[in-house]
Amino acid sequence: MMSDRSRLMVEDRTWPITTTANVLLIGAISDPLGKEGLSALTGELLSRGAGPWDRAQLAEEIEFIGSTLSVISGVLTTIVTGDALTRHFGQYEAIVGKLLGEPRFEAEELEKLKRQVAADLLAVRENDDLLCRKHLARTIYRETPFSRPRCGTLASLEAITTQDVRGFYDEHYTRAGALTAAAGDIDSAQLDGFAERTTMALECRAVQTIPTYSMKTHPGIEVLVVDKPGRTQVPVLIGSPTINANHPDYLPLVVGNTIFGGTFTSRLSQEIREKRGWSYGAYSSIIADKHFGTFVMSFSPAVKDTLPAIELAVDMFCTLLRDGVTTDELDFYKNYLINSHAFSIDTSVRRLRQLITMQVNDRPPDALETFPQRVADLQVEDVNRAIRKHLGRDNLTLVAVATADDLYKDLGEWKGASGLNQVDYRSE
Amino acid sequence: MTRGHAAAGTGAELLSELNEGRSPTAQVRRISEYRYGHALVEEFALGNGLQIIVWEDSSAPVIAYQTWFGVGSRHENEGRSGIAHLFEHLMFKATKNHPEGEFDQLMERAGAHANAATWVDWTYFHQKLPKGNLTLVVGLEADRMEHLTLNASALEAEREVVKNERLGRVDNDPDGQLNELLYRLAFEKHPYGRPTIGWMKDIEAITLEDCLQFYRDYYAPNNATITVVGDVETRELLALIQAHYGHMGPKEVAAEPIAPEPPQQKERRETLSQSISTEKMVIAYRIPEVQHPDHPSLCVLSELLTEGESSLVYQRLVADLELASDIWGWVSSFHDPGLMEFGASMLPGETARDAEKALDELLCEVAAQGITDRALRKTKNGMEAGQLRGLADTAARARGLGEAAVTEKDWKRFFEETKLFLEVTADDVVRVLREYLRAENRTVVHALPDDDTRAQAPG
Repeated sequence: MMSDRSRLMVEDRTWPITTTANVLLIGAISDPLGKEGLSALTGELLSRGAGPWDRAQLAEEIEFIGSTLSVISGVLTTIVTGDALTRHFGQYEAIVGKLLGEPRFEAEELEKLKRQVAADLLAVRENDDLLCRKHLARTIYRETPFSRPRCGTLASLEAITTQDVRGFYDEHYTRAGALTAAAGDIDSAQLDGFAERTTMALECRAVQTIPTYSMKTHPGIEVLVVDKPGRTQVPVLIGSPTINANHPDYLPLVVGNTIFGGTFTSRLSQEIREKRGWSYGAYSSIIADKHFGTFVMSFSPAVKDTLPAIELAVDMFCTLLRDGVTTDELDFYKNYLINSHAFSIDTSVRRLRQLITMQVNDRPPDALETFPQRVADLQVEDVNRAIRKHLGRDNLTLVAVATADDLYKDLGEWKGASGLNQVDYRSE
Repeated sequence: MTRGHAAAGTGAELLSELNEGRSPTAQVRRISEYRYGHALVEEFALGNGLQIIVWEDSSAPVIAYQTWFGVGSRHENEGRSGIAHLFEHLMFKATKNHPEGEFDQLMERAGAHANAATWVDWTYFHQKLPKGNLTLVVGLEADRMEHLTLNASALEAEREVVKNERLGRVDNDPDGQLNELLYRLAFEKHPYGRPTIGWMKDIEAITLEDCLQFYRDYYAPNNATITVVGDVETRELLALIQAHYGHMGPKEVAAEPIAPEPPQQKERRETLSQSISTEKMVIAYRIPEVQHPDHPSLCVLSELLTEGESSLVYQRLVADLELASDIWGWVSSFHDPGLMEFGASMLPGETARDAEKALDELLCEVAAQGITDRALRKTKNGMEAGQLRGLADTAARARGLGEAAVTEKDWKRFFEETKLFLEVTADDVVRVLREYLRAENRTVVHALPDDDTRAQAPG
């Protein structure tokens, strides 16, 4: 493995294929107000015409050599990633260089893309899980830049012009802070060459700034019903903001979450799914980056079981806050996390993805290697202190996609709710 | 091709040592091997018929261990759809030697990821484990193949879970409903027309005795293939398998209900009204089974037509005509004759009818004009790269070997199929297009927004 702050490499000569990632520090956080989705459109348009190739020609160039190449636009980063057979790596490198350095941003392609994205936004309404997640993020992080829709809204897409895209690219696409990474049939000299001809060919401009924000808090559990007709099953998410991935308490909190709802044998899964059959899956998770984390419980009961499942999950959560975890539980799940760590790094591409995530989030370079020992060193007091300090009964948001007539009254009468709102599933 | 040192293989002397003092059912034989670069994959069999396929690979300290059974939803009887899948769930319950929940506890303590899946032709139980856990997984898998104990309360709890699974995957999911209807129409007689998850009324009707009989009928060593890829030693693995499976005798596996689908004589078509924002289309053509000589050509055809943004269907329906926001294509690799599918989600204001017409015109053009050498080379490059991507992961390799072993009765097809794809010619591709992609040989489903959704459509 090779690493300096601008390069990451996992050499693996087993198969004649290489995966690359150009990680740029630009994302939806920099979308201007009223033009949400601009970063995502700009990223996608990179692959819709570059250098001498229009959209069709560019796709043909990439796919003729058996490669994949896509642009993943996130809230904080834009990642150009793909792979190439060894014998075609030179051609692949040239394509990536053009894509990053000479995007065409043609007006016709922007309009086509906007229509496609609009269709995708409408399609979210058909997927109850995505609907639930969308509204949870909007609600938990309201009044912060992180609640703004990464792909935009129908209205914001309409407002975006070719000039906006070109301006966004010219202002934000920079080699400053960028990372070039590769895994597979490649050595350091080849990676250096790839970096020079792709990421390093970008101008050096200022890195995006993260706006200041403060998380709003509220007492108790605020409930939002996303009203959708004909639901016989109700996806439920109950979540709250929590600490970021670099906080000293993050690892004990993750371990505590694993015990509560992180695996099939965890408390939540056993009570909701195994004992009662109330949901196909019942889990909790903590996802975090260097800015903040999100704790979420999730399950999808049939309508008749929804309120009992909610009451049970909240009751179990309160028990966790009050009593914490036991030493026996901690020992079991420490074993699980230490022993299963191998699966996050068992292929060169998985290892690379972990390393990229660590670097983008300013984790120590050896975080991956030291993970098992850091888990092993945890004591039950560490975990329980982290749970009590960084999770709580207040500031929880519950989102359920349901037919409001079936559930709204029951939720309104539920003593666990401190507030109740309803929104139509078609609302943006 | 892999790099590194060539593996040596398992010799007669080792097998002789392993077999010494063993009963006939526990005797292990080496059946065959396949060399892929420097990798060596070996096939063994126990006297009781258990098939074992091993690929030693110490590049990462992990093991993928999978047990494949030759039973899927196609083996189900009318009125009992979903039993193969429900039974898969029940296999995680109590055995004579382990109370309920202990299987998962033991697996997770070891750091394993364990799960299972059921489809039309097979059911498989898969684990990824850190190296050094062979004794655990072989013991547990053998135990539940033989000693599962079922009771009414376990069945009822798991029935509720499966009903919830169906609610999520089908009843509350427009794409799930569309797929279910497509298969029901395309297969009027064959069990492929019934959903693997089961009709809800069938899930509710399955009895404890049905499950016990199902276990007796299908869960036997001679109906199973174990695939192991990763940091293992074949000698240790075989010794463990002999110790834990060797006492089991073969069982008579139930004959599957035979209900071949008769040839389709005319197009089948239906329209579905759903709570969706834009129209959708799926079209499925009847094609032969995976072992048919035309199957590789059909795979190449599908890839050429639908894989990637330079593919013919994407360029025509998405990029040029702007009828669809996305398209997809798929070819079944079923034991019995299956389907080649095309799907599209329309842009707002565009119709499935127009997309279908555009697809038909495109297929006619290709049938008339043929395909270019460049297009064929592009497709093959993509398929070659696709295979290499899959080879990185131990579980993906174990899965590929197992699926080929059970569905095609030939695990080496996992390696050979890429060679077959590379041998396909432009004439082969056009020939299969003309032969199979005919209107009278297809089923078409259009999904349209229902009145409520249409009334609220934006713009």
